[in-house]
Amino acid sequence: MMKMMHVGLLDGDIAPLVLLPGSPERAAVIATHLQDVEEKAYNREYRTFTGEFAGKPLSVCSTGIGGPSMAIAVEELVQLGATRLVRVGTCLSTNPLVTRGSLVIPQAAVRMEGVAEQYLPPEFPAVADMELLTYLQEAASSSPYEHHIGTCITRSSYYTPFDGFSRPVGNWLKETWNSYLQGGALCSDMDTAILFIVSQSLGVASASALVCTNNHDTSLYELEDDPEDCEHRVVDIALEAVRRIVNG
Amino acid sequence: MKIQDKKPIHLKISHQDIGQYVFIPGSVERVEKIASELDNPRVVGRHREFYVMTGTLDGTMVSVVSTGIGGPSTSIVMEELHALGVHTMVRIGSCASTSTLSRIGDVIIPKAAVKMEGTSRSYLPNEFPAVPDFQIFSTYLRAARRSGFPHNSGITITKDSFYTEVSPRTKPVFPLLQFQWDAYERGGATNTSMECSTIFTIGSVLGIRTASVMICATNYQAYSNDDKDYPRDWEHRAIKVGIEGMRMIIADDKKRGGIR
Repeated sequence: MMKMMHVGLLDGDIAPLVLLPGSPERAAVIATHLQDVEEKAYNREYRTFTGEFAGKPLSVCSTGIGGPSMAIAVEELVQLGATRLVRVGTCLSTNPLVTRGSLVIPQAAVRMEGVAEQYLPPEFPAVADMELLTYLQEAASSSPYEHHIGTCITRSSYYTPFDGFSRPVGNWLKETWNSYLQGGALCSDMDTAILFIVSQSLGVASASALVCTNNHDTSLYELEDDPEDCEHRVVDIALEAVRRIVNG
Repeated sequence: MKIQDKKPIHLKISHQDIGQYVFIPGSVERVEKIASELDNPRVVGRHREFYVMTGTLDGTMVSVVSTGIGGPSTSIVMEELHALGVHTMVRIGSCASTSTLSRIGDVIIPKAAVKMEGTSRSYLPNEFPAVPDFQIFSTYLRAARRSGFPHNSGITITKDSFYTEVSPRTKPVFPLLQFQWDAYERGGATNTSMECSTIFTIGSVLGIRTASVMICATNYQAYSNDDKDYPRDWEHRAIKVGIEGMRMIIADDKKRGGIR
């Protein structure tokens, strides 16, 4: 039996429904909510657990930061039989409406990155599966947390909005970024557009749930990566969505 | 937002004559069919391809404006309606199938659009997704479900050139067109028409709530430009869902005491 080169998993190791946090640490946090859970592999940034949730099989696999590692994870998980993928991540606000601790469920994503073009041309929209999105929306509506549905900017350079656009291509980046804001973008992350485009290309369903870790005007020095006070919110709604998905 | 007093140069109508909820079909002839579903419809403008009728729906003023075919004339309509204070624009149109998932007679409510056109790029760069307003889109999905008609919410390809789809081989850039089109279909696009991505993009930029309701005029790989294949027998479905969805949107807005 073939072992997947990067995620280090074998046939039968995963459920058809997989949660995709970026960080291996969050994979372990999510795994604590599963029953009969087993760590299947931990290779590079890919840490995978499989168990049961709401009486049905569920897997969790971390994807690492960014599109290149996300695309590899999706390709290998789909080869192993994954059909529904839900990202469980963090994002940075780009809009005063979205404040720290609120949830964002991206309807679609700006492709400010380099991986998706190797799947579909740039004019093709990176968009969520509407059925999975609806489950996340229902889960968020039943939670006490504020949530927003809209467009997420997926950028491939973390420091782009925070380095004062001081890099050599800064002027161009600044105008591009401003155009996204004028298009109504709510937040930015580093993975959602790639998840959507690779899933659409391979014919599987995907959606994304994000918790916002800053206010839109936060400076670089005030940012936090894994905020303990709100990370659990996105985990909560993702698991509630899973409960609704598996119960049909 | 300040509402323009002067009549815009293409629509040539005044803001008193137009509702804030507007249907924007492509075809001039479809305007009367949609308006006949409103109460007390009347003609308020007719200049170039822009035919404008206004009536009421559950007591709220609603208008219908034809955009003509394609992004350039559609963008003019949206800009001028926006200047007149219109906040909700819904396309009622026709489209062709690009997948076995879309069949003749299906009501299509696209969740996003491929930007195979030029106008939206004068607003936002290529990588920005063209999507309808989520709340309006969701309301239309509910309206389609209630109607009982077969429906589909797949990605739509918005193309600038109608004959790209009908006779691509006659174009010097054919190999490129074929590669692009093939990628779109493999990405899951279920249908194609000529205005959606422009409408969605301009909606995002100007803060207009948009969605699109279309009737699928063909089965997969059965394209036609024969007038006898025009979806006259089916278009009432898109009109019915279009009107029902608008009623629901108006009711939701009333319940909330205004638009977001």
